[in-house]
Amino acid sequence: MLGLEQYREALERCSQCGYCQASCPVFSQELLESYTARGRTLLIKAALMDGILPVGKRTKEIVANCLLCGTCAHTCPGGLPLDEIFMAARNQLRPGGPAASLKRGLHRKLMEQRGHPGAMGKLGPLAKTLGLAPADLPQPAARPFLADQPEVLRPSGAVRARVAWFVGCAANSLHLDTAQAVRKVLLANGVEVVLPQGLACCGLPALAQGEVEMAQDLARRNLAALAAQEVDAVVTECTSCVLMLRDKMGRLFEPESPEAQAAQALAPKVMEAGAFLHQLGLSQTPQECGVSYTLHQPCHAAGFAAQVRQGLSLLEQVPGADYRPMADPAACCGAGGDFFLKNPALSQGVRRSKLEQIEQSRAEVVVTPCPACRHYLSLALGPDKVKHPLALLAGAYE
Amino acid sequence: MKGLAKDLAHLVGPEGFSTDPEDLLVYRHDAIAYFAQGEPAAVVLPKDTVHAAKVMAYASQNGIPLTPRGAGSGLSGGCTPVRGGIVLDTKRMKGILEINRGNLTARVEAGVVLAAFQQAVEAQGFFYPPDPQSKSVCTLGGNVATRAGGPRAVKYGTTVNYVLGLEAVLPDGEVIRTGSSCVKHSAGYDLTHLLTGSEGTLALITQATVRLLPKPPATCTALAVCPTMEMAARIVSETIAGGVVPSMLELLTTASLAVFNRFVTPPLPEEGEACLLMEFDGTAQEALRQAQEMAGACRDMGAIDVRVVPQADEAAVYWMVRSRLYPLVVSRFKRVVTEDVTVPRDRIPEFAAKVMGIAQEMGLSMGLTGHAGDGNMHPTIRMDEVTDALQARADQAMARVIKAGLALGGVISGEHGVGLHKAEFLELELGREQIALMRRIKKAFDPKGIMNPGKIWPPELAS
Ligand SMILES: Cc1cc2nc3c(=O)[nH]c(=O)nc-3n(C[C@H](O)[C@H](O)[C@H](O)COP(=O)(O)OP(=O)(O)OC[C@H]3O[C@@H](n4cnc5c(N)ncnc54)[C@H](O)[C@@H]3O)c2cc1C
Ligand code: SF4
Ligand code: SF4
Repeated sequence: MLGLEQYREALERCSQCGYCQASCPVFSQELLESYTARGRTLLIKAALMDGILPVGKRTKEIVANCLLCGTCAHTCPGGLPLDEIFMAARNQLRPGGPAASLKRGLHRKLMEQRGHPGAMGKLGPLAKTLGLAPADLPQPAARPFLADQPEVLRPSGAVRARVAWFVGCAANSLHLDTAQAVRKVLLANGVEVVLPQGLACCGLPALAQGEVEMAQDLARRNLAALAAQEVDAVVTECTSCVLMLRDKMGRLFEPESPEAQAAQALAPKVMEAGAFLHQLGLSQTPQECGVSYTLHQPCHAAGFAAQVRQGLSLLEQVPGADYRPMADPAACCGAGGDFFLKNPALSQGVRRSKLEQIEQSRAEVVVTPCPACRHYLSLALGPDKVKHPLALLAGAYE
Repeated sequence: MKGLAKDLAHLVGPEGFSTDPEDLLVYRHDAIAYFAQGEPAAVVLPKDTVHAAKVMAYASQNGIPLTPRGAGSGLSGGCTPVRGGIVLDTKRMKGILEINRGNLTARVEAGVVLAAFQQAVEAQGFFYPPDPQSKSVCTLGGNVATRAGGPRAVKYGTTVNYVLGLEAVLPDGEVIRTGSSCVKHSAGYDLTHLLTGSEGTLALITQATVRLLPKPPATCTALAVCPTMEMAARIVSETIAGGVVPSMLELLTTASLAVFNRFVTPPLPEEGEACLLMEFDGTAQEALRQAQEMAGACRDMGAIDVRVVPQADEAAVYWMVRSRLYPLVVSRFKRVVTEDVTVPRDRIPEFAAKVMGIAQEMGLSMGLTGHAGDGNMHPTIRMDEVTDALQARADQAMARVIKAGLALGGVISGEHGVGLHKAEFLELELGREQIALMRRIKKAFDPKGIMNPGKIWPPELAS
């Protein structure tokens, strides 16, 4: 993700088969081929790399009209790193000027503070008035989760494992119920939890804006804070954090650089919290809990779908909980991080078919480990209808 | 073409077309990039037959070339707008209009994606067999226009065997309905099957009525790794001669075994020259028995490894890999040139030997895969670099392969169509008289020559 030129060889490997049409949520709405990965990569190459087309409004629009869900990359038989190419394109198209750099500065602060505006919170309304932040951005909690946590959480019984917990920005600042549930189920099952100091946002939201340097800075902090930990695993409740820490962080740096090597060493330890618990096995038996639920699998989990399934399998151990699969759990919900704020009509179109599937599943609750999916689905379904899977397990530990 | 955007906005609304060069880039070619030759002036995405007819009448009045396009997954350059003009993209016409249980037929719009259609009929217990491997994206309209088929052709035939009727728009905007939804029909010339395989050169297909079958209750997959290409080819022709009809029978190169091994356990031995991937259908018992008998026969004939995969979800992985092999190979080389010569099935061993001989003589890396059960082979030249000299040698080799196929009683294209790719060979197969007759037919449909110009005819006739 250092720059587009790095992907020239990959772009030349595109077979032009068009298979990426099968799965792109944006294309499925517009049915215009310039929105498929085949069309996007041809355009990126012509306009941003080879200078065959001038970079105009339409190029920017097409590059921006992408959820960065990565689905195309997983569909592509040639395994092209399409999502990274689109991020690199955004990097090249980053806007300049004072408004953009003011916005960039605010973002950086927010990410360094793991999603919590802190004192900057007072600036929030101002930022909204100035159009620097979307008006319907979710409201952060008054006090972030991490403000009240010790550095190490110790289970009351025997210690079965020791993990470092990477609390995602959303769990820290917006969905505190998720953070509390994760703490509860980890401790109940004898896991000693380190909350390393000095962590920042994982950097994926920065990358989605094309802010490669910002993502690199955040990654350096996170690598430094996590490398020092002597733990069995680095767990996080957030799908996008897993994607970043496990698969993308190392790709932000030159191959063989110390950062890339550190990221490579860390990657195998990174797990979704639910998958970790599944592998450890529950030591505390969940109580009866009469609820029916269905899974929405986030797009960002496509590379480690097995981990999501493992997290889900914990819920099968809850007596009375009834899993009602929807037709295609892995179909996109339309959120795409904050894409839905900028492209409401497109996102709503994508979400519509997801909502139909949810309806048909007849489940009371949707569980999904991704905070963006949760937020966007709950805007349609109501706040109590969408939960983190571990929140459902925590409910069986009352 | 001044004023085109304004006119199109008037005809189909601002959302129904684009003239932005950024959008048009991808419409310059199909699944083979080096066929890109012309620049379209616009892509139009009609939402229904009425829109399509309006645009076509307008194009006819103004002498604007029209190139129909489905998913653009073609492998012959068929939807490449070589003379510019308007690309007619059918993907927004994607309705499944009717699934008639009592008559075992379905009526669909041209832009419906094959996989979506198959899913819809299978959900009701029916079966629509034609299965080009691009099924996750290709459109029914594109399938009809190219007479597409896939592995199931060995038992179930290709698209041409399922089309009963069509709705089509003639280049001047007139709408015709050919055929019917009756299983039998013997009035008039069979325009349905004239349009089927016409590659967009006669009319725009907007709807198709197709035949359905009851869904076979079960399937069973088997895979045999063969020491030589020749043995694999012999197994195919002897199987067919023995009266066993698999529902799919694919011949693949050893290189594909490594790809299977990324997805399946236990790993297959990456040995020998070829492997056969097959499927049998019927009741669960019948399917399993046939697969086991076939496995036994393969072992007797000297296969290195044979496995039977009765589990449907496990078998699906093998067929998923199968459908991705071609793009995967293409992504590993600088250029891949692929053919779809088809020979009578008893001539497959001879054809395989000929192809391998030509590759060796000309010092080219050539693979031979294909829907062997129906004799449709894909000799594939793989190039690590693209130079004029190498391309010329590849062209020469393919010309020899095509002539070898024809000499064995074969045809130049089994499923991809002629498009740009095979135009220079059409006369070799059909002869002058047939081509002259076909050109008179073309003239009757398209007097102004605006429908997909520059395609199928030998280059000296194409202008
Ligand atoms: C990886 C891969 C595997 C493939 N495997 C197979 C296979 O197994 N078997 C097989 O047969 N093919 C195969 N193909 C080729 C291709 O997918 C088929 O030819 C398919 O039928 C094309 O459909 P399409 O919708 O993409 O049509 P396009 O490529 O868009 O068009 C193909 C031709 O049909 C014309 N056309 C399209 N729609 C219409 C319409 N509505 N009215 C009139 N003319 C129209 C176009 O002008 C063009 O000449 C494969 C392609 C790829 C990339
Ligand atoms: S699926 Fe991959 S190889 Fe095929 S056209 Fe799309 S990006 Fe290219
Ligand atoms: S990342 Fe998602 S939205 Fe973007 S092109 Fe790929 S599939 Fe489409």
